[in-house]
Amino acid sequence: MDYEKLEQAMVSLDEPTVLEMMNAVAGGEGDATLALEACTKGLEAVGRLFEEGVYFIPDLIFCGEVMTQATEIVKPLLASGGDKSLGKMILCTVKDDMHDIGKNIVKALMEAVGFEVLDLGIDVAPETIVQTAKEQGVKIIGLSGVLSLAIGSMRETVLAFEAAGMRDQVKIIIGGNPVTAATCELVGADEWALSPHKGVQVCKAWAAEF
Amino acid sequence: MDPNERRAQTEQNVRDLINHREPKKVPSSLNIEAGWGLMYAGVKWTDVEDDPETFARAYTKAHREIPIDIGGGPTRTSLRPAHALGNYMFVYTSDGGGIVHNQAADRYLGPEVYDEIITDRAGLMDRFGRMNNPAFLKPRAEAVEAVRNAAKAQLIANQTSALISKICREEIGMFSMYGFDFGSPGFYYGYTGEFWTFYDRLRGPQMALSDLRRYPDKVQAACDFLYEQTKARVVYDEESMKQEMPFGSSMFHPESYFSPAQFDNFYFKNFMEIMLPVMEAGKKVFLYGEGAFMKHIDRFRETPKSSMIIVLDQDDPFEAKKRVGDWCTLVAGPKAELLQLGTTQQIKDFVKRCFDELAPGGGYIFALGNGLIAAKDAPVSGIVTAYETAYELSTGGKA
Repeated sequence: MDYEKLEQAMVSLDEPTVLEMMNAVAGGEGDATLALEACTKGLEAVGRLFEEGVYFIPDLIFCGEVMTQATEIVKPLLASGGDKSLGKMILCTVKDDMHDIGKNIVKALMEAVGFEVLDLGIDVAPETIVQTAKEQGVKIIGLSGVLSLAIGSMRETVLAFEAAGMRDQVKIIIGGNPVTAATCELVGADEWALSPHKGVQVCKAWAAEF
Repeated sequence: MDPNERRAQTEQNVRDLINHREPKKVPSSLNIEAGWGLMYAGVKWTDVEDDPETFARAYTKAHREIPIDIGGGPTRTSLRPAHALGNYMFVYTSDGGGIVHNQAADRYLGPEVYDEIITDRAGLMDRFGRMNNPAFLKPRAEAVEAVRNAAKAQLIANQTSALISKICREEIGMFSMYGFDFGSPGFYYGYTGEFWTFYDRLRGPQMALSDLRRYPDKVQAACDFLYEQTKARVVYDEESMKQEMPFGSSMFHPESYFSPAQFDNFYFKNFMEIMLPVMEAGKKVFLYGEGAFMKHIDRFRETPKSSMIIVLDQDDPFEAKKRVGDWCTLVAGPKAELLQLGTTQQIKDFVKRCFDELAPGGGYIFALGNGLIAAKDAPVSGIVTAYETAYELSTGGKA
């Protein structure tokens, strides 16, 4: 198996080639772990190309879909259903916001790089997020939102962690349409991201710290 | 002030500023969706939805009490027609104060739509309509009853909307940039990109955007087909084209995600083909929508000078001013997060910066960075601070 070719196919968003090669791996022509690593490298390169203005949102969405398919093909070959080496993280759309496209894209990418994502869904109350973090020992919290009202819900979630005495035990990243550096400061989150690539990089760095 | 006089003054100020002349007063615009307006009045949507008079009076309380010169577009006044048909794409917020888009309830079709829209557009739209309004799939008697209930609810909603327009125009003296809603008659010119049909309806945002990669030829063919139909429907009227108002209109949303090539291919070249003759004749065109648009904003320098009014959503207004402020009118101001979480002084400072940097030379209308949809979008205190500061600055006072 030519893993470099696989990585390049991912970088150039060549879906047929990626899927053909992953099916070959599933058929015994290669190593599933190495193949997924190649795809992940390609995916991260796509993220960088997005940051550089070479790729755009439609390309990122497409890349996430290809990665999800690639992972599904070889999942049965992986001992624990996939690489979960980066540990658990919570991901959800905050209270009163029912948009999930951005969250789902981020979820696909986070899983691809090795997170076990606890997807709490949409319209998630602060207390649910805090409770889940407490019960599952999760230290990375990703909050997504599209509407303006999401900002208030993100702030309420940060305050809920403070009220529970857990704020210094978790790292919180916010993302979505209304999010900016100023929003991040006002909300009291630790980081913010508009691009999934930045979100992945931030969370990977946090996972390495914990 | 007499409402007619007030509206006439605002209209003159708008005529001045859109032609890049400094107006006597920089007008303030606020796009209030019904949910926020009702929250301001202390009324729950679900309590007044069936009573046009109470709904309209409550909704327009904010318009009467906050110094706003220009109102937003038509507001949604009822969910009952859609819910009667089993369509829950929009639902009430948890506090009953407003409504939100429930993306999880959206239902979309497969990629066959790109071929099908060319071969059987009517059949496709019928299938899509039934899928999203499940009442049509029930036995005939039940479906008829659902339609009857939806129609009744729609009549009430229409009465509410008409009453809101009447109050805003005749009692408050507000000016509308949207043309029809506050009673301005006129020949309508507008263009919305064909990709919206797939993005907003048939395929949904995620699938439509990835289809640009997966099925580029099919998407292109379908959009080209729709554009030919759009073009065939456009009627140019020599006299109405010369009138600045009511404004023509266009919208952006998927366009904010496009690459430059996609922006040109799926929106801008068609926009120019249809709207340029109108703008060259003298008509002004209003562009509004959702998302970050800065990477494409320079393209509007290709329109005639002082012919576009651009409502900014997620973009930095000061950067936009540098790039197109001398060419296009910008509608911009503080974003919701500042009103939600900023201090009173931070809000005042931002509004002052808007007036200092955006207003000189005309081409500026003060507005919130986002429309107000739900109660939690922005606190009343933040809104009032912003608009009172704008009022003081626009009338020569100090914030």
